[in-house]
Amino acid sequence: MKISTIGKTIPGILLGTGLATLACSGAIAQNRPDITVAVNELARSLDPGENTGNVDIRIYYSIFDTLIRRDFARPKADGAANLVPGLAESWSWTTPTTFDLKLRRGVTCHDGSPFDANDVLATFSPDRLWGPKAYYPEGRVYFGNFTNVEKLDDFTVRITVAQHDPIMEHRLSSYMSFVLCDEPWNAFRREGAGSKVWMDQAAKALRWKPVGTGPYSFVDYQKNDRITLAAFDRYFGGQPAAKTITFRSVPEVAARVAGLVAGDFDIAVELPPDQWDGLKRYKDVSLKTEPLENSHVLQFNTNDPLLADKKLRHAMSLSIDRKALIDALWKGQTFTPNGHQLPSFGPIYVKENKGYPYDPALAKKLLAESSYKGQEISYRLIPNYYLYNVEAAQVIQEMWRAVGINARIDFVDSFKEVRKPGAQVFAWSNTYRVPDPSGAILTLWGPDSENQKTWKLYGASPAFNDAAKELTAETDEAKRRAIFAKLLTAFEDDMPMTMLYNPVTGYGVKKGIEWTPYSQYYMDFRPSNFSLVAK
Amino acid sequence: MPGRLFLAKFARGLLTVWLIVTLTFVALNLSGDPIEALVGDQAPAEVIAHYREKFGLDRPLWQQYVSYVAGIAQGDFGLSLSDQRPAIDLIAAALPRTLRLGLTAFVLGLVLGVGLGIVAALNRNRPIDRFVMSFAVLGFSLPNFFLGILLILLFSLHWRLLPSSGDQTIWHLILPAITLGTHFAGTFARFTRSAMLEVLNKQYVVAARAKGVPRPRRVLWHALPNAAIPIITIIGLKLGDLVAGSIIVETVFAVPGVGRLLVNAVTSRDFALVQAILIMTSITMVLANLAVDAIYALIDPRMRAARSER
Repeated sequence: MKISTIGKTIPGILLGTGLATLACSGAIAQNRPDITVAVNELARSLDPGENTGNVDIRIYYSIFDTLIRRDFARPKADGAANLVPGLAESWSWTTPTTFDLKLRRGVTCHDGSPFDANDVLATFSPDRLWGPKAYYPEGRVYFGNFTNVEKLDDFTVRITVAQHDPIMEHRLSSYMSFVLCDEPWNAFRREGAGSKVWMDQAAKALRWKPVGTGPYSFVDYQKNDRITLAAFDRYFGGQPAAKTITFRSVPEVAARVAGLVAGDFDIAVELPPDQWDGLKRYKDVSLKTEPLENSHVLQFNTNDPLLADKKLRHAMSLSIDRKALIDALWKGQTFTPNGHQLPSFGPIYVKENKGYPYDPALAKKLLAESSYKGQEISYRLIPNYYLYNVEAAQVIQEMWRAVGINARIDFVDSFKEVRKPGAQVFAWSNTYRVPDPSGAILTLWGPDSENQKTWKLYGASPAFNDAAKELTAETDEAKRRAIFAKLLTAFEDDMPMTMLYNPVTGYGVKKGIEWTPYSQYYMDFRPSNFSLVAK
Repeated sequence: MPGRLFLAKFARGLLTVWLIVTLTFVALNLSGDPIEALVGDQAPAEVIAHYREKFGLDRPLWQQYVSYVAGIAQGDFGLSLSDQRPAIDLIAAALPRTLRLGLTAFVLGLVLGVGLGIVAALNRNRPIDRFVMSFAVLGFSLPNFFLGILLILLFSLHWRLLPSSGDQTIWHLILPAITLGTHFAGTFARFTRSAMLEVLNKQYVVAARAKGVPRPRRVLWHALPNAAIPIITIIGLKLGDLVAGSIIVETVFAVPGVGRLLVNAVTSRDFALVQAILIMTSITMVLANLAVDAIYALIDPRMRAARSER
C-alpha cells in the first residue's frame, strides 16, 4: 500500500472506528432504561444553598458535585470517612491558613460551559456563603472561618481561613459545598444592585433550573408529582447507567411497596421496619437498610429546677434499655453510638469511650441519692416527627416507671413549643453533618451553640466548655483526639442528653439494579455506585 | 331567584369565606411554625431569623393578617413559602387533576348510587334491598384510606392488574375513582331510597298505577322528579365537597391534585397555600349551595310561588 493511500486510509479507518464507537455508544445510550424512584416527598427546591433536608439532598446529589467527595460506599478499614477527588483533583495546605485546590480539567457543566475556577468562586463567594451578610445564612455554619477565596489560575483556587481548619476537606465534601456553574448564576448580577437583590432573583430563577456538573441534568418538575433528571453523558465520571431517573412522589408507604412489587417503580425509599419482612417475600425485590449518621436523642433541660439534679439525669439515662428498643422498633438493624461520635470520625474517634450504658440497679441507687421524690416529669415530643418517636416514648416511660421515675408524655406541635418554658425532657435528633466533633457535638452543644446561648437548656460544666474551646483551637490530630476524649467524658458527666440509637432507612430495590444506599440521605446514581445487571 | 334574595345569599357567602380566612389564619399561626418546617429541627437561630424576615413573619400577627386580607381583596393570594410561586398558580396547576378524578368519581357515584337507591326502594324489605343497603352503609362508612389501601393491595400488589399510584394514564384513574366513587354512591343510594319510598306511596303515584301507567314511566316520570329535592340537596353538598373529599384519596394514590397540595401545605405550614385552597373550597361550597337553591326554584313550582308571594 502506497504511503499516500495509507495517508488517506488511516484517517478513514480512524474516522470510521470513531463513528462506529459513537454510534455504538449512542445505541447503548438509547438502550439504557428509564428508572423510577418512589419517594415519600419531593425536594422542596433543587437549590443546594437553600434546602439541605433529607428530601432535597437525595435528589440534587445527582445534579451537583463537590470539590472533594466522600466515598460512602468504600470507607477506610477502620470505618473512617474516605475522601476522594471530586471536582478537585488534589489539594493541600500550603501554609497553616491557605488551602490550595487543583481543579479537574475537562469537566463540562450541564449548560455546555467548561468548568473552571470561576465556578468555584461563584459558589464560595462571601456574598453567597460565608460573608457577614451571606445570602445563604447556613453557609456560615460551615464556612464562617473563610477570609478569602481566590483564583490562582483557571484551574487552581486558594481558600484562606482565619484559623487552620483540620477538617477543611470534610467541609468541602459536605452540605452547602455543592458547586454550581457560574454562568447562569452570574447572569443575574447587575451593576449597582446589591448582592441580596440579584442573588434573590438568581435563586428564584434557578431553584427549579439547576445547572451543575453531576451525572444527571434537570429535565422537569411537577409539584407533588415528579422530578425528572436525564443522563448527562459528558459527566467526567463516565456515562450514567440510566437514561432518565424520575423521582415520583408517593406519600403512602403501602403504595410505594405495591408499586415496587408491581413493577411501577425500580426503587422505593423510606420503607419503615414494619414493611421489611413483607418485602422479603418477593423474589424480584431486595431490601437494603442503612443506619444513618443521625442519632435520636433525649434532651434533658439541665436548668430545670427538678432536672438540675445530675443524679436524676444519670438515673434516667441508665434506666433505658437501648438494645430492647432497637430490637423492638428497628429489628436489631442499628446501634447506639458510644458517645456523641461515630467511627467515621476516623483519627479522632474514641473507640474505648463507653457512652451511655444500661444499668437499672445503678439507676435506682442514684435515684435514691437524688432529690427526686416521684414528681411528674414532662416528656415532650412532636408526634411522628421522627419515625417511632411515640412508640419509643411509651416504652421509655415504662422503663422509667420500673425504676421509680414518673414521666408524662406531652404532645406538642413544633420545636418552639418543645423548648418553651417548662421544658424538662424532649425528643430531638442530632446529625453528624461533618464526621468530626466540630460538625456535630460542638455545633449542637458547644459554648456557642443555641442550647447554651439562645435556648439556655444546657448549663455546661467548665470542664466541657474548656475542652470544647481547646478542641476548636487545636490542629494536631493526636492532641485533638485526647481533647475529644476529655470532652466526651465531661459531656456524658454533664448529661444534658442521652443517646437512644441511630435510625435506619430502608430501601426496596428491584433485582438487577446494583446500588448501595449511604449513611446519609444522598442517593448516589453515579456510575461508580449505580449499574444495571442483565437479569 | 329574585335579586334581593340572591344578594342576601351572596353576602352570607362572603361572610362565610371571610370567617374561614380568619379562622384558618388563627389556627395555622397557633399550631406551628412554618420556618421550622422549612429549615428543620437543628437550624441555628440566625438561619431561622433570616427566613422569618425574608417571608415577613417577623411582623406582628395583626399586620400579617391585615396585609394578607388586603392582598386577597386585590386578588393576590400570596406566595407559597415552600415553592416561592404564587399560591394561585400552584392551585391552577393541580386543579384539573382533582377535577378529573373528582368528577369521574362523582359521576360514577351518582349513576351507581341513584340507580341502586331506586332499585332498593322498589324492592323494599326484600333481599335485594338489604343487599343494596348493606353496600350503601359499607360504602358510606368505610374510610377512604382503608378502602384505597385495600384496593391497592388487591389490584396492584396481589393481582398486579392496575397501577397503584400516580395519574399518568386512564388506568391510573380507576382505583382512586372507585375509592372516592364508592363513598359517593353509598351516600346517594341511602338518600335516593328514602326519598323514593316517601313518594312511591303518594296518591299521585297510586293514581298513575291505577291508570295503568307502565312501571318504568311511573318511577322515572312521576316518582323520581318528586323525590328530587332531597337528592339534589345531597348532590349539591357532595359536589361542593369534591376538593375536600379528594384529600385522602389523592394522598393514598399519589395523585398530584389540590388535596395533596393541601396536605403538604398544612404539613409545611405553608400559610398562603393553605388559605388559598380553603378559600377556593369554601367558594365552591357556597356556589354549590347557591346553585342548589336556584335548582330548587327551577324544579319545584311551589318554591317559585312561595318566593314570589314574599
